[in-house]
Amino acid sequence: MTTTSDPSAGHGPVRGPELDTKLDTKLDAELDTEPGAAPATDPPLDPPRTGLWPALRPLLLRLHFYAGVLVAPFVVVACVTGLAYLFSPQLSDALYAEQLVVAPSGTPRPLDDQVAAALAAHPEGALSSVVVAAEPDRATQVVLTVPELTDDRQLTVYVDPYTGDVTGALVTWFGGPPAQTLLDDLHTGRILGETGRLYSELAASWLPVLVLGGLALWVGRRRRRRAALVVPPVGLRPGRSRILGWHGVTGLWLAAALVFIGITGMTWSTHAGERFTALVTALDGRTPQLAADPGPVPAGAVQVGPGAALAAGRDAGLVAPITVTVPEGPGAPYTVAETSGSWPVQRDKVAVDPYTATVVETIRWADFPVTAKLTTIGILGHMGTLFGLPNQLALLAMGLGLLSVVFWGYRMWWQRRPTRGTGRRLTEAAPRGTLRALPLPALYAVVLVAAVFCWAAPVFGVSLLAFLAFDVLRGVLARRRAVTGGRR
Amino acid sequence: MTVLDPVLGAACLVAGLLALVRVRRDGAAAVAHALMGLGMAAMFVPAADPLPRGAWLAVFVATAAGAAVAAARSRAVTGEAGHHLVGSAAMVFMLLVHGGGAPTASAAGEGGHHAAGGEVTGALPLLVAVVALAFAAWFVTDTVRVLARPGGAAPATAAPVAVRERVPVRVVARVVMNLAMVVMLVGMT
Repeated sequence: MTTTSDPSAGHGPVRGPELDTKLDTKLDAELDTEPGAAPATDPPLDPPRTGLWPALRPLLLRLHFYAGVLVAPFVVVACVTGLAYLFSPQLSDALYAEQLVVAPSGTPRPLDDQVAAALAAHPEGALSSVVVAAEPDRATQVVLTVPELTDDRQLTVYVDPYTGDVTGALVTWFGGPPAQTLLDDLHTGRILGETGRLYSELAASWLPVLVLGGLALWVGRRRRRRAALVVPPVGLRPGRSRILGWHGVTGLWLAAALVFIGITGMTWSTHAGERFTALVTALDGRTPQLAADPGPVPAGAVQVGPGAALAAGRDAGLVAPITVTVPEGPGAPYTVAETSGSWPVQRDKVAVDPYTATVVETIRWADFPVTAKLTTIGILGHMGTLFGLPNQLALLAMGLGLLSVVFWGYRMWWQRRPTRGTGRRLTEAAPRGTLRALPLPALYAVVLVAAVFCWAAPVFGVSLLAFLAFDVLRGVLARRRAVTGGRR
Repeated sequence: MTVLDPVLGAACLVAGLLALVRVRRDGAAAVAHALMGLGMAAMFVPAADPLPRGAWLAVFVATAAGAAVAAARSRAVTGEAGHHLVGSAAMVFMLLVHGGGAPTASAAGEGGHHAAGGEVTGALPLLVAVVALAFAAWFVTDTVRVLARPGGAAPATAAPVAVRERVPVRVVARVVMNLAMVVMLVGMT
């Protein structure tokens, strides 16, 4: 992490290289033994290992430590707000049941009648789209654009499809009722504006690094029992070793899910999201969009209603939930799209001529590029809708596990606080000089991987540079203190 | 042109001139450093560049060839000759992609006047970014390496800092040029 040398974090005379090495070896041995194993002064479990890992391990430990201590609060905020958002569908149903839920009775009324009822109730709005639900007990959503609403917020009027009665209206953001929008804003940081979004991007960007670094450290540890890699240290006496065991084993079991959450979260973020879009565009893997080019307007032709467009879409094989978006201008087509958020993913969409109600363009989910399919599936999995309640419960378990891992991490940090007599230091998880001690090919590989990830996740890059600057500054100050102490 | 361009251009010019002073003592290595410093200064401040792009291309292709021969003879690709080979190749790469002028982020993003020599479109930007990052990683690596042995001695271990030697000027110059190179390369991504 640094190119400077830190003789000691403490005060007093400069210690020599031999003492340095002994202290670092002792510290390393302490950190590198099996939870619950004998004290660090015991003989090593195996002969000292040579190769790349012993050189890389202190670097990873230092990075994991710094990132863990400084970024974890952001991860915790993103995790807690994410858990709250996870159950926002159920919360919305509870808060807005009057508007959202209806009693099925008979045959639904024509869609155009439902839209007319909504527009009559809210003449201040202009029709934007109509969402027809898949479940029979759900109200039809008539989405209106209202001049007073900004930032992509719209007025959604809910209509009972069986009676044509308006059940209520809510200000929505991409279909989400107010409570869901609020939780989304909290999770993404949007509630604090564009700057606020940086905090969630910081958390998302660092999460895969923290997880993969921690995974490497945990797997690379020496341990007497192989089972200790994957089995929690249930029988151990309380202490740092047991906490480390829980931290490591839980992190190991959650690693894949956490990396998935971090990477999918990055695709939404401002800066890393831009990079992701650039990448999939370069690879020709973006989600295909309907061209929806305006056609000629026949003389005297009358535009059909959204009901006819919906019927054309259903004839083309689309199934609910379906969103019908009204034409943006004269001659422009209706777009009719499947918007299911669960497995099996249905994202077919068609463009419908507004005068003849015939399908003029079709995009099938089966024809999506692989990257577009993976992106869509990843987003739905991240939101917890892909597999319904099991998906939500899995994410809940992952979130609680992550909070526990963070807690145990801080607990270990606290246990390493300066204590009289032990000489333990608060922030020295590994000795300095690990980066520069790497062999040239390994050093280049480490820098290259860091450079690529910094490019892909600019917020990570800037924060990593800040960490490096902080670390170098600490080294310089420590060196100055050491030199001053030596002269005395 | 960003505010940083003239500053980095001036720094590279000074580094190049300092290398020129050492030509008699250090030979080809100092020549390579001098050319690199002057070439980078010209890229940062193209308005003050007296040479056409073709001339710089020829200079750095020749420097790369010379460094490649020296590296092959010494059988140490990661040594000084190897560094000059990578540096010259990076200069050729930047000259080919951006024609001349520091490829700053603003120029790359907005197609500014710096990029007039060769705007890249389509999937090429991704390839350019990958190559630029690979070069940038090398110069960061070299910076860590030279700072770890500021006197050119064996790599430092956990040597006590109280006895560390003062960083020589030529190392400072090299670090400045490395970081300036990183700025230019990152500006291309």
